[in-house]
Amino acid sequence: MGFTSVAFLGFFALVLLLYRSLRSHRLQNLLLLAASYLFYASWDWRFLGLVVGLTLLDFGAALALERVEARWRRGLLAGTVLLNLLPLVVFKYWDFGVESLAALLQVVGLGNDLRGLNVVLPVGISFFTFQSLSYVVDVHRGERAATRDFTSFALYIAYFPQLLAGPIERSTSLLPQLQRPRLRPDGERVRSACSWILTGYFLKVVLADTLAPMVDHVFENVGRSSGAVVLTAGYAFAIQIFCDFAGYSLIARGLSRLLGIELMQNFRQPYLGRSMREVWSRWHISLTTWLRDYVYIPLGGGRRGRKYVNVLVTMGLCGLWHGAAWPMVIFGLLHGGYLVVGDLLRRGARGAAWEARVPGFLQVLSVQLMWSLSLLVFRSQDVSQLREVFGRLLTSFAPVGDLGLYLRPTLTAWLVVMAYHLWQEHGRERLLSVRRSPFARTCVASFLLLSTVAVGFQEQQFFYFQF
Amino acid sequence: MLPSLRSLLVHAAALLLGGLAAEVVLRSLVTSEKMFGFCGSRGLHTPDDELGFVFTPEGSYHWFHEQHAWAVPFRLDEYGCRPVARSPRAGEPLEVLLLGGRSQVGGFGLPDDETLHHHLAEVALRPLEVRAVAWPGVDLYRSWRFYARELQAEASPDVVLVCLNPISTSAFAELIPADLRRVPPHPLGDDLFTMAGDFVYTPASRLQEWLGPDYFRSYVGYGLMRHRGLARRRLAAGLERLPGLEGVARRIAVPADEPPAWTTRPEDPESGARGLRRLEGFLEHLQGHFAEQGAIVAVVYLPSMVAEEDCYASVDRAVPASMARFDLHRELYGAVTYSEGVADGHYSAAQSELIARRLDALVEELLAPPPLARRAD
Repeated sequence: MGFTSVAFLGFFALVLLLYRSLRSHRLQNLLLLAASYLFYASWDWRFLGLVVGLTLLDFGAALALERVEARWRRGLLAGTVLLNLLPLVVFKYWDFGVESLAALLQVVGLGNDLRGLNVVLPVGISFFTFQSLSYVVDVHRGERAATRDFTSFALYIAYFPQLLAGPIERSTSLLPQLQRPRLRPDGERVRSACSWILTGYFLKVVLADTLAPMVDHVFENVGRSSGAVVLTAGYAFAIQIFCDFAGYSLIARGLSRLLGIELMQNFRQPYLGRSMREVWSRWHISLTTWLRDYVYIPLGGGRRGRKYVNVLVTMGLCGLWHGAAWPMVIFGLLHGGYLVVGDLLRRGARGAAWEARVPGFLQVLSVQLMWSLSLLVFRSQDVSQLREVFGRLLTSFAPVGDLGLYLRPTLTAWLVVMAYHLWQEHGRERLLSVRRSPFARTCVASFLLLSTVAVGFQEQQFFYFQF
Repeated sequence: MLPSLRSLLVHAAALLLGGLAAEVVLRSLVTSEKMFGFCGSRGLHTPDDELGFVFTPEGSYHWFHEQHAWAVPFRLDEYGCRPVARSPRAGEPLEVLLLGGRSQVGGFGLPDDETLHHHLAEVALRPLEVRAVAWPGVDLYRSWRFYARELQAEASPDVVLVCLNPISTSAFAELIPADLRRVPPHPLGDDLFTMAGDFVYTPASRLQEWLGPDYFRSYVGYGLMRHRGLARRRLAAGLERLPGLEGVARRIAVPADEPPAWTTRPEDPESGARGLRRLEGFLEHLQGHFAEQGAIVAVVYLPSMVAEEDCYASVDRAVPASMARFDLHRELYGAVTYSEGVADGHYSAAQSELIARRLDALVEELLAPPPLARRAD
């Protein structure tokens, strides 16, 4: 039951109706919890136990952390973290580790019969594991007290609008909202929620799902594609993945706002970033801030002499979080490298002066090029495909041929996304009067609605569900 | 009253402008082939008085599919067929004709060097020259009519493999006159078949029939209109999962007041039996025709990804006893399944190669001297 399915729309309408009819926030929480478990079970009921198990573990661990003596707390935290990560390791990373080890043994001439578990990856596991984990760490750090309200906590882990692909919420932000009565959203909030939902569906259905078959085709036929087509596919994938993920996040935020619960902003016009650092501060914000707070800073952060190592380790883990494959690790390290080099270049007066001299749009375009190239790594299934992709990119200079077939949709989608970015970045202030005009509002709404309905809901899954 | 009228006009103008913007963006973003679910580039089909349509000769085109086969380039030869494939082996080639098999033999979604007949030529033990007379949406009977009209004078096949899909019978049930001598005036019947611009489609609703090619004029208009059928099919698919509601689901999926979108009617035993009788007569006719030319004819049951293991059981009864038949479906059952990146139900390049290897073995089997002759040698 994905967001783009008719079944989900019916499910949400029913939940909203029942939710509104309940007065007590505790009953509302019970309803949302039941709906969330039903929603997750509709994907694969077998893994519902995993969500419940994680909830019980972290609920109990946080209470225990408050009660045990100080000397036991670190050990308890370490044990809880390991138990939290265990399902992630088993379901997501075990096979990758075994296959990598087998390949290594093969290389050094040691035959082996190592076999992976070949298990199905529970949908959304990386998201809810990180969300749950952050709660225990926050309690350990004393940033929040352990909750005794089990229903609210269980809902915090399983809240269906953001269960499968985030945003990865913090206990300090989402949990308090679940523990107190929620105000019924006023007209303006309902309007903004609907606008987010509509925009989210447009990004997903019209842009992401239209580009997806084209990108898939290039990656399934790399050997037949020219370098220019591969590069275009990189750009197309950059747009696809933004529209897919930002679309999901917007729908999640909109649905949640209709329930009176605010979720964090996950994307802030990332493709307007003038440096890779700026892109990462605008892209998948809930993950990047999570990594900053729970990995980068505990490693030592920007401490002298350790900064760049910490950046590389954090970004390597960021890559690995996205998928258990070497291209993902390379993607993470590549971005770690981008950040380190960017930081070194900006150092000193000469770097700053150079940055000031280059027009902003050129900086944006060059960052987009680097980002798109890195996404060719991200999208590759394995190292051999990665080699093939870059081999074609660097050696196949075939005549233009079919390039137009790829270029037109990519360029159109890019223009739409950039217009959306600029509208979001500058429209709020400069175009306030336009935004308030009924004509403009109906015009934009009808554009979004008509194009989304016309293209039609194909019930394509969101790309990030696999993480 | 006046302000509300003004507001209404403002919203109507905004709606119109929004719709226009949507039309412009969609036209630029989505290819017409993907939007309308066309399987190939515009211009791929040409109207034909006898056969309804044929594939336009001598051109370079692209395959399209809603989810897969995004702009796969391919060529058609001077007859409108996929180019003849020749073995890399030296020597006088044996001519093999693959007749029928619709899109699976027509290589839908595959480039020229990945089709079934191309792989057959490539993997063959002896030099072969393989021609496929099959196209997406073209049944066995029309493939044969095309062959008889356009290619018969030129071609002299040594081996003819008549390729059947599980839906082959339905074409004979509904379209083919029993005596096999009279050519039907229109292969799909005027009420079921329309050329929209330069593309072929089968109207699925009265609205489509009424609008004809205009149905495909506007992206936004088409997108909105098709939802009626989409919603109905989704509802039917949902109901089908509930036990006891299959009949209701079928009625919703194909309401009585609308022409069927597809010619298969497995639920109608009478039409099925009629189809089998006609198929039997047709196969006898083919066997006699090619035997006169000195060719060996055999029937091949192509692997299907959706049908049951014994899906050719009834077809098998229609194949004349004197004809060799090879059930590749049963043989490769479970080995040819849905593949990532290939249009649903169609063969991937690897599957084409796998089937081609089996076909090559069948060709060798057909050419091998009979046991008695071998003993005499």
